[in-house]
Amino acid sequence: MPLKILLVDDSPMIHNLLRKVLEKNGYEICGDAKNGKEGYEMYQELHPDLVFMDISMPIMSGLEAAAAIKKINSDSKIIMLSAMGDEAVLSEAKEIGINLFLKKPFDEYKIVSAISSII
Amino acid sequence: MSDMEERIQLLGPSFIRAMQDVTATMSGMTVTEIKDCASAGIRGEITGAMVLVGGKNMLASISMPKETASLLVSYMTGIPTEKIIPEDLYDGVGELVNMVAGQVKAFVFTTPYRFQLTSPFVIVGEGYSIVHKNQVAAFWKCFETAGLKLQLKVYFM
Repeated sequence: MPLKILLVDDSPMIHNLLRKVLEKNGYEICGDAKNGKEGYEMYQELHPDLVFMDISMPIMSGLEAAAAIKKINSDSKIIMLSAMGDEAVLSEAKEIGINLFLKKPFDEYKIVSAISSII
Repeated sequence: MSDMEERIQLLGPSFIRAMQDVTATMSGMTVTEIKDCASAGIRGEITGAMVLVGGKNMLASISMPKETASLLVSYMTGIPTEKIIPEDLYDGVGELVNMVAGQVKAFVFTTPYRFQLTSPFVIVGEGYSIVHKNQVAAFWKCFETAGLKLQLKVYFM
């Protein structure tokens, strides 16, 4: 069974880019969400093996959504995506229990390596 | 050397490096610098911009013709250029400036010239110019890839 991955990002381009790489490498995209609230709701519905979550999103941020997911499932696997990587954000992500921080820009190698390192 | 000149001396090369790193990583394309920007004649039909908030506030913008944006987004996503919708194009250019500025932010994080970033925004149209009253660009660089051009400008605000 291929790994089921949920994508949560407000950028259609990032969704398309991740989908291209992940499907090429045999992973299954089980859902696409445009903001943290949608992502949290989809997580509860779809039970993905892994979540790719952007930090800066409208309605509910990635960190808020990740914290909510971790509350219902502390074993959930979440990779946070960000173009910025502030120390304060990294520190908060670590406290929430985020598995990995992937800084944009990323290429296929970085994406696949990120998955291998936590699954 | 003035504070502004020092900032340009540090930020200029950082922006060039970020521009080249981001486009190479995300699209596999190599952008090379065009030495003479003034005669490059680059049409800015899509511009991604962000405000850099720090000791001196700046506006960073990346402008390009639609063909350049289509090619970059196509290479980044694998979607053929003819199937890219306008909203994906605008999003792609916004993400590009977001990543370039984000990388520069990381480069200068431990220096006195560190800054925070606003969300990116995109300006779309034909034949427009971004004019800053009483200002000239602090930094203006032009790039070329696969015969298509784009330009990066940073202004003090």
